[in-house]
Parts: sequence; structure tokens; C-alpha cells
Amino acid sequence: MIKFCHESSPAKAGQAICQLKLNYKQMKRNSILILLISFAFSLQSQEYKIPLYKGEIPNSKPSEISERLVVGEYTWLYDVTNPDISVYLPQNKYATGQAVIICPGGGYRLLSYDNYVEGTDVARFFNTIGIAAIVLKYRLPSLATSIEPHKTPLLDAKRALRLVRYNAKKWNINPDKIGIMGFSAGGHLASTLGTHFDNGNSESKDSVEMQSCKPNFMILMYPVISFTDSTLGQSRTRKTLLGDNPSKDLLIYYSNELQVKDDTPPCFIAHAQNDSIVSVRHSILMYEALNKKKISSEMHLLSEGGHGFGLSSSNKHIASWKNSLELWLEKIDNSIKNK
Amino acid sequence: MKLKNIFLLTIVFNCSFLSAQDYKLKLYEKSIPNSKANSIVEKLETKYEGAVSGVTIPEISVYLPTSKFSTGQAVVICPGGGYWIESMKLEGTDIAQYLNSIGVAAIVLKYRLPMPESCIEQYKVPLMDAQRAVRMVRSNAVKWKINPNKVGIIGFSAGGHLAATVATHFDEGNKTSIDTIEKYSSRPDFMALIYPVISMADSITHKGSKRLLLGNSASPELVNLFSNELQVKENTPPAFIVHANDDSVVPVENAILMYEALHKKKVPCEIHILSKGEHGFGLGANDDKVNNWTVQFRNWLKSL
Repeated sequence: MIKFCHESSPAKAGQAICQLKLNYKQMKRNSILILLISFAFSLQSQEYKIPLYKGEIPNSKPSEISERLVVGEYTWLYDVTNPDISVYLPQNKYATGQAVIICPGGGYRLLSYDNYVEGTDVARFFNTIGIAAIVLKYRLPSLATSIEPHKTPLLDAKRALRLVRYNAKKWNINPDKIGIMGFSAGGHLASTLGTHFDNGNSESKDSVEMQSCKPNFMILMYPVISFTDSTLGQSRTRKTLLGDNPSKDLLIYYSNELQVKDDTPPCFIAHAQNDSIVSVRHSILMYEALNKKKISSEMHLLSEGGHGFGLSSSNKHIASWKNSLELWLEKIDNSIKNK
Repeated sequence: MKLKNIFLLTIVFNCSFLSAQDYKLKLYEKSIPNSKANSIVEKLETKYEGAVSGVTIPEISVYLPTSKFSTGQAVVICPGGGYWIESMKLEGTDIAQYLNSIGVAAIVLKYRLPMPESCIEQYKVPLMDAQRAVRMVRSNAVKWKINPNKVGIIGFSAGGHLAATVATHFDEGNKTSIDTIEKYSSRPDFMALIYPVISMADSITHKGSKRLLLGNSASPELVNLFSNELQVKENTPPAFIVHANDDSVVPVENAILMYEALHKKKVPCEIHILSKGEHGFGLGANDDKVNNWTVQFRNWLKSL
């Protein structure tokens, strides 16, 4: 198991900086060192990076393809073959016990791996409100690297949930307060997990596989939901996940508004009306399905924001979804406590 | 003298009441249209704090923000109460005070209730009054330091039905009228619908509101005319909608139907469906989770 676990805690780094500061008068050069060290620590704020699978990666086939990170206006990750999770934990003292697994978007063709849009900055936002955040790097449904491409992202998301639940104690997380969040196609993945979970395999030798992969709540950000609704055209996401001529059964299976059941977990949805890439209809379909099953859900459809607004810190109106989410998470937390 | 005391008390009471708002104006100076002689007396319904029943004389109470911090926006407030009472505090003056605190002028409307005893065509009456209120605000824009192109309407529950009706059944005003107020457009520049009744379709409507507004045997045409999700047009003004998922009085489907109708016509629209809040929360002042809608509303008002 590869482990990038950093031995030094941020507190120790702080001490190191203080010690260096004492010598500051003697050696001016040290100031450069301080800068370098603090920069290094700011880059390494996640506490764990763990591969999803210890040995063989399921549903994969050997290929020459390797992961590519393309950094431009946006940061995009292609051809993921080694799925992993990056774990960001809040200060113990202020931890609520809740955890959120974040599935970045990218139309199942790539992962939007921007710090500030759908990945690490969202994780840091959760940390500031006492919630553990786990960014999932999931494999994409590629014919070149997967045996059955459409199964791959869901397999990885299920595994991530089991892995977090398995590590709950170690990470100071309540195993009954683990949610899944997804953006765009990542929202499809999150809602797929929320409607296709299992209780784990109690006979498995792998103790991670024994864990349930049911999320305790879902957070869907401008999600893709349906591949069948007549008001929505055929999407590229559908083609990427299911291929050119998917069977009707497969389309229904992955149209998550058709998969909502009585035990589907509570859901928070945010979407912008002027989203020209993923229609706001997707969110409405999901909300209506949840409402029909009397599953507690909350939906905020903003009048502006377009697609992929992420944290959108610069626009107070769009960024307000964070406040709504924070209040909703608090409410979910209370309802779990009261059970 | 006893009589004198009562007289004095009345004056004192009126003065203290008057000081709360800047203006209180009757909607109609002379005769009230579409009304008939009746013996109905308006009274407080003590069971519901600050609610009145038997409204036959419509009026507006005008609350203006400190002009230095005014945004120029104004909002006509339609309190709810199933078209049989009007919740003048929870969904009236409380809202006005909030709006003033964010620099927005507030006009609380006390519309006539649709009672067959006092109205000729009862279903037209609340709409007439609300339209008149919008026109009056526009006609007073200069005096009240309001931008006449930023006059919106907000309504709660049955008041939400009224607000949505105004926003989908407006006219440009009658330029040839001798009454200057009637020359102004009744189109609101924006609408806010808080746990609104939208549809008059039996499957999802609030039955009490429907019965009182349209009577017991409304024609399908009348039902459609007042099912506001069917009346949305391209020029319907932008909307902000709030509803709680667990509303047991007015089904949340009302809000969703309206959102979908607006979205289909490409009318800018925002909706917040809260997982909890039930019906009739007003500002929800003691609950952060509910009260957050006012923050959302302010953000939205600024984005217009």
C-alpha cells in the first residue's frame, strides 16, 4: 500500500517555523527557508492519500495507458487507472463526525481536478465547518482500461465509501454520517451510489468489503441524473458511460430518478437555471422522485451560475449554496442524533 | 365623561399605530368597484395573531426605508390566510420591517376577501385590489423615492396565489382613464412566492382557497384562468420561490409546477425548497435554517 501520509503534523510545522524565527536575526537566509517550508506544508494539507485497492484493481485490464494531468485554464485529469482517495480531516476539537466523499465532474471523460472548483478547495471548505472531506479520484469508463466500462466509476465510488467507513474510527468520523457529493457527471456517480448501494459482503476476506456502501446523505451539484427522460436530449455523458447503443435496461438502470427507493438517503441539490450543459430538469426529476418516496430533500435552483460554478466565492449570490448546505448538514446531523 | 375617554383612547391608539408606517392609504378614494352593500364588519381573528377577517375596505400601508440606504426597489406584500383571513403581522408588517432593513420599500396590501355578500364577482376582487396597489405604488414613485421600474410583489400562501395571479394577469394601464392611478401598468417587475398556492387543479390546490375564491362550482375555464402555472407567458416577470418539502397545507408541487412553467418560457427564476419548515413560517425568525430564505431573497434582489 502506497502511503503519502505525512509524519509531521501542521502543528509541528508551526513549531519548526517558530524555531527558525528565533534564529532570524542571525541569519537572513533563514527567511527564505521559512517561506519554502510553509509553502511545502500548504501544498501538503491533505493528511492521507490512499489507493482504493490493495492488490488487483477489479474490472480493469492491462493497458499501456497512463494517467495524464493537463494544467491549463482548468486542471484536467485524463485516463485514471489508479483510483485513490485524498483524505482531509478537520481539527478533532471541532469535528462534527460527518464526512463527505467528493466526486469531481468531467462528463466521465476526465476529472475536473481543479483545486478551486470541485476538488481540494471544496474539501477545505468542509474542513472549516468541522466536516471530514475525501476527494475521490475514480476511474473513467474507458474501453481500453475496463472490462465493463459502465461499471467502473460505481465500483470505485462504492469502494471509497466502504474504505471511509472502515477507517471511520481512525479518522474520527461517525460511520453513520458519511455522505457522498458529486458535481455534474460526478453528481451522476454520487446519485448512482445513493440509489445502487449494498450492505457489504459479510463473507469477504477483505475487511473493507464487509462494510456497507450506503451513503447517509447525498449532495448533488448540477448533476446529470437521467438518460431516459424525453425532455432531455441524448447527452455526451450517456454515450461516454454507456456507449453508442445501450440497452433500454441499462438506460433505466442508470437513470437515477427511476432508481429511487424507500431507503434512498436524504438529498441536497443545487443547480443553476441558466446551466446550458446539464439542464436543470435533471435536478427537478430527481427531486420529484425523492419527494414521491417521501425522502427528505432540499433543492436550491439559483437563477444564475451557469454550469460548473463550484465554490464560486467571488459571487455572493451563487456562493450562497454553501450556506444552505451548511445549514442542511446541521439539520441532517441533528436528525441522526435524534434517532 | 366616558364617551370622551373612549374618543381620546381612539386617538391615542390611532396615533401610535400610524407612527409605525409612513402612510396608510385607501385603495379607492370614492366608490369601491365590484362591491355591494353589506353588513360585514372587519375584525381581528384572535386565534391567529394579527390576522383579520371580513375585509371589505382595501388599503395599503406604506413603509419606507431610510432614503440614504434605499435600493430604489419596492415590494407590494400580499399576506396569506386561505382567502378567508389575512395574516397582517406574520406575512405583512414583519416582512415590511425586514424589507426596510435591507433598503427596500414595503407596501402591505390589505385586499378585500372574496365574499359573495360584499362582492359582485368575488373571484375578481383580490386581483383588482392587488393590481390597483401596484399602480398606486408606481404613481407615488417620485414621492416615495422608488424606482417605478423596480416594483415587485411578494405573497404568502393564498397571498402567493394572489401575487402569482397579478404577475400573470397584468395590463399596461388605461391611458385614457381620468383616474391617474389607472394609467399606470400593473405588471410587477418581479415576484416572490412564499409557500404559494399556484394551481386551482383539485389534485394539488389548497381546497379552502379555491372554494372561497372561485365558489363551489367553478367552470373549467375559470379554474384554468386562476391556475397560474397555465398562465405563464414570455413576459411574465422573474420569480423567486420558497417552499418547504414537508408543507402539509399547500403541497410543494405548487411551487415546482410554477418553476417548471417559468423555466419553459425562459423566465429567470429561482427556487429554494427547504427540507423542513412546514406551512406558514413567515420570516422564520427563530430558525436559522428557515430564516436563510431571507438571505437568499436579498441576494436575488441584488442580482436583478
